[in-house]
Parts: sequence; structure tokens; C-alpha cells
Amino acid sequence: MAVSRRRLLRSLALTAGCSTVVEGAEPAISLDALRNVSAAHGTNLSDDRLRVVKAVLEQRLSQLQALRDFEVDDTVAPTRGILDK
Amino acid sequence: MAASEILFMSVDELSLLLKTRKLSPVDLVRAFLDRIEAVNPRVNAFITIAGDHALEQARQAERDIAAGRYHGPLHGIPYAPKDLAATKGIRTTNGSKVTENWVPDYESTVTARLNQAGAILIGKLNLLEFAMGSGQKGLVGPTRNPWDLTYSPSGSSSGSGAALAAGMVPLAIGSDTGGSIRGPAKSCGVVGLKPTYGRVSRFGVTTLSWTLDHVGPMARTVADVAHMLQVIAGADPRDRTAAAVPVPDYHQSLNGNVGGLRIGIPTEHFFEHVHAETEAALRRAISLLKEMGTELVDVKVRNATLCGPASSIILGSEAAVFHAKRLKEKGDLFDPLVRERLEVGTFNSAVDYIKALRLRTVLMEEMQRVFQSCDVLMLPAGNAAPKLDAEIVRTDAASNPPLPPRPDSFNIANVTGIPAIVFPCGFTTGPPALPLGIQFCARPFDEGILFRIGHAYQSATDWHTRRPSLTA
Repeated sequence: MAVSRRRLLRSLALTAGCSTVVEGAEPAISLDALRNVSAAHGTNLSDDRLRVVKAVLEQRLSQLQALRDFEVDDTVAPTRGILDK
Repeated sequence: MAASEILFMSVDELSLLLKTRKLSPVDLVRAFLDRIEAVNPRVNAFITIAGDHALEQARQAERDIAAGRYHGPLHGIPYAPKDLAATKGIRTTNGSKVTENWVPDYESTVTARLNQAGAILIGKLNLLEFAMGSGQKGLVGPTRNPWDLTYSPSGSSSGSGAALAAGMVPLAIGSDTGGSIRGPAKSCGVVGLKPTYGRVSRFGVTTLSWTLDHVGPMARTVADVAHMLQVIAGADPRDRTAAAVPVPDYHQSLNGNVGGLRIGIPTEHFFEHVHAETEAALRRAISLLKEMGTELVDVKVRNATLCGPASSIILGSEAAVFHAKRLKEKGDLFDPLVRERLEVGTFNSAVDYIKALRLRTVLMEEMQRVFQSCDVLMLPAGNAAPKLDAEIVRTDAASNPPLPPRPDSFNIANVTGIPAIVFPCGFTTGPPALPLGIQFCARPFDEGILFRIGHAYQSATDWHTRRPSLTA
């Protein structure tokens, strides 16, 4: 069976844990990357837990991107409570 | 007087009977304890029933009233808080195996103030674990919707909504981080108020998200909710976010006059996932309010679509911090869905969190602009309750599919801190016929205007007087 270039790249991206963006595909979040982040944060989640987290993080990427892309004026500071207490 | 007459009476009706000693607080508490014993095995709204404590308090109330020491309209009336409000000497589970045996040695401000007003704690209400979202089995199993036991009462204040609808308690306390008071109010056909951020102290109420959490009253009428807020609102030295803003006399808002009041109707976004039957009920309610003298104004809430992502990042990040130690030490005890959400929260970046807080500033300023052209903003309160099984099955999956996002029509009030009320505005045609609700938001600290419109609406309609048969 012939393997398409796109399919090969996707497989490599997933198995090697790299975050290569495959043409036309959603950006992959690798288990390795999550493992490293978890270690850096000191949570040290198991691979089983990281697999659960990975699925959710991938599902919400587009939603998060909308937040990241939204341009806020430089003068706007973060707020925690209501403005005119 | 028959117990069935007492169970669904309002605070004004009960307080008149109690004050004039035509009804004993002991008999009143007994009537509710009997109702709980009869109904709770099917509805599962209570985690703890504090029968002995309630009867002892009722006997004290009886003595006080007889001696002329009447504390006010809540004196002798039973209430129940969601089981994340700390109650001294009474188990407080948070709906979680992690804290199922916790007996606090202090009292939350909200229950302390109700106790001080003479209200009688009768038990602690079921909730979704740590008030986190929907679709879980919970510590003692799910609460069921009294209108049809195969349906969800919505969460996370599920026990609060269901207990009120089933006549197990006349007053309840809920908490709301993304709609957790207003969703159950809508699904159970009762009234729920998410007050302004800072209006009600959160001391002693277990945190989900420091900057999104609100504690608020739930009851069967708007007037009863106003009675409760009167007692629980105000500054608290033990909660630095509780604002020193004067608490007005809310009873003055219960005058039925809505003439000239401007109701903002959003022209886009908020109605996108609203079913035709829900929208028709909302339109009928608005038409009635227009006939009563209000003015309808089209409004646009800019950037409302970003409210959901901002709420998700803020809530997930803050909850992950709050539960970090418990998650590390007792992760296996959490409900799988809650654990998953908390672990996902640990991967939020500080950059995204700060961006969400800056967007929050933008949205607050936007709401200030919106309220220049209207006095209250009408928003949907979601569709009718979902089937219970459809929610619960999700927790059995190895990795849960994303839950449907909480509607932005709820999140907007948490993210911006403005007050919001939900009250019943109709029923689905069914079967089963399930309650529908309408939501109104107002300027910060203007809960009075919400009571004004809600009480006027309830004076002209009878949705809030309908009772579930509890036969399904």
C-alpha cells in the first residue's frame, strides 16, 4: 500500500513527538512536550494522565487561538474584580 | 394547617404566621423534615439532613418569638446551603470524596448571617464535586430534576434548585462561577440570583475560582430572594473582596412598577444556540413586560464571543492553583472529569491567563457602554434541562469529549461581575413539560432593579406557582 507524503509526515510528527504542523492538519501537541512542561511545572503527571490532557488541549486549541489573536490596546491592564466598586 | 399548604408558602406568608404564633417554627421544621424524608430518596437533593440541629433551633426560635424577640422575616424559616459553605460542627463535603469527612470548626459568613437573622439550617445540599461544571455522578449520586426524575436539574447547585422545586426547603444558597446558580434555577423552575462580585461575602465557601466565584440566594419567588439578599449582603472583614457598598432596602424594589424601565435586547450572538421553543417563551415574556410599560432597546455586546474562552482560562487556571496540593496528594479520589479539568488547567500559560484578564477589562468597559442605553439586559438562560444519563455517561470515558460550553449568556456576568437573575418564564410543551427561564443583568450593585422587574413579572404570571408532581 502506498503511503502518502502527508500521512507519513503526520505519523512522524506523532511518533517522534515533534510539533511539526502538517499541511492541512491541526497542530499536534506531543506527549514529549507535555511531559517536559509537566516536569518543569513540578506536577510530573504520568503518561496516562498526559494522554487525557493532550486530547483536551488539542480540542480547545482553536478556542484558545481566538483569545490569543484578539488585539487589546496597550493601555488596557488586567482586571480581577469589577471596575467601579 | 395541612403540611402540604405550608411547604410551598412564601417568606411573607410564613413569617406572618410565625410572628403571630399561628404556626410554630417546630411544626414548620417538622413539616419540611417529613417532606425531605418522603421525597429525597428519589430526588437526592440533600447530602446531609440536620434534623436534630434544626429542631433544636426551631425550639429556640419558638421561645424567642413567644418572648417578643422576633428577629425579622426569616426568623424560624428553614434554609439549606449548597454543601460547600462551611457550617461549624456540621459535615461539609464539597460533594467530594477528597473532603467527605470534613467537619469545619468555623462558620461561613453567608450561613452565619442567615443564622443570625433567625433562619434555621435544615441540611446541606448536593452539588457537583467542588462546584466544577456538569456531568458528574457526585459523592452521593446525582440530584434528579423534580419535574422529571430522568432529567438533570443542571449544576453545580443542583441540590439547591431541586430541593426548592420539590418543596423540601423554602430558601437555599448556591454558588455561581459560570452559571451554577442560574442554570439550576432555570432547569428547576425557581429563582436564582448571582449578585454583583463583592456584594456577598465568600468567606467559608470553598473556592473554585477566586475572581469568578459568587455566592447567592435561591428561592421560589423573587421576593424571597430579595429577603435573603437583604440579610447576606454587605462588607465582611474576613473577605477582602466583599465590597463596602451600602446595601439598600430591597423591599422598596418590590413595588410592581416597571414603567419606563429600558430593557436591552441583544441583537446577535446570545441567541445562537437557543431552541425555538425557548426563544418563543423569552419573546412572550418580553412582550408582557412591554405591555407593563417597559421600553425595549436593541443592544450589541461587542466581543461577547470571547467571553467563553476568557472564562475557561481564568477558571481553569485559578481552580488548578486552588486544588494543586489536593490533586497531587489525592488525585485518585477526584471525579475523573474534575481531575481532568484541573490537570488541564496546570497547562494554561501565564501569558494566556493575563490576556484573559485584559479581555475581561475590555468586556467590563463594554458592559458599561451597554448600560448607557438600557437599565437591564435580557439574556437567555439556556434551554430546558438535559437528560441526566446524557450528562453522566461522559465521566465513564477514558478521555472525556469536551462538554458543551456554558452559554456565554451566563459567563458574561461572571467575567464582568455584574448581577444577574433568572426566574421561570414558561414550560416546554413536552412531554415532559420542563421549566424555561429568562435572565436579566444590571449595572454593578443594582440588584434592586432586577428584583423590581422580576417581582413585577411574577405578579403578572403564575409560572412560579406550578409544582412538579414527582411521579415520573
